[in-house]
Amino acid sequence: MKESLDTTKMITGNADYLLAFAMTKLSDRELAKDLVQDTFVSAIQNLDGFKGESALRTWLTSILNRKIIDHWRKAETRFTDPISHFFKGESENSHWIDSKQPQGKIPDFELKMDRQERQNALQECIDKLPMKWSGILTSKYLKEEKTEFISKNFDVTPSNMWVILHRAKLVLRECLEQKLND
Amino acid sequence: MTNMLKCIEATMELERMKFEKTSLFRKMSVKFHLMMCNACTNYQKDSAAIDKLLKEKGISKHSYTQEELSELINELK
Repeated sequence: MKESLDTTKMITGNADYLLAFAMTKLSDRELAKDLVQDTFVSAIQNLDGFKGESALRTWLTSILNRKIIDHWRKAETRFTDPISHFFKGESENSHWIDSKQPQGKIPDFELKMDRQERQNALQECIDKLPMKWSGILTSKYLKEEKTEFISKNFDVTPSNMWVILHRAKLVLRECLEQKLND
Repeated sequence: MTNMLKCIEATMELERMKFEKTSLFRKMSVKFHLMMCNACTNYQKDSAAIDKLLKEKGISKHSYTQEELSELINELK
């Protein structure tokens, strides 16, 4: 009886904090909620692993962080095209492959689709990106977070962050263009 | 000619320049590249439109609704 009371208190006292933490690293709220739930499940099953009231939140956060990293690792295997999918060149990738040249049509989304339609299209294209990439993309372009913060939060070097953002943009752009042409 | 930007570099530079300061030389190189390259000019247009779509998407709320919280607690009982 006492244990179930403590569990409820643990959840209500930390759920928002953990969700906000997860959302800084993931762009998908449903996924973030799932991982927070998994975190509470692990915590309840391993209550012996926890020592001392003051560190409860820290302990929960470290469990959640591990789950996010595991998730990234699994999601990393999601297929993404190599950079040579977009560019060709003699020794280095230099010019656009003819069929991959941007058409400049993405601004048409505003004219041809209503908000719900174009946001659905965007979400479908974002879902094609590795989880870590979409997290970095949202951090930079939506939340406009500092490069040092993203670098630390996602464990990438700043130059690697730009490589990822560039690649993510290329994949998104191509995916959205295809949706317009369908 | 050898120090001319390649498309792969120009497009990455376009992204970086939205957030970070770059040297005047670098800016001019990108500008010059865009004058010569239709595909990268289109990329620039598309990229700006994607930024707009991302902004429109907005940030979803980071806290639980009362309903979600009750669900979570029941789920874990």
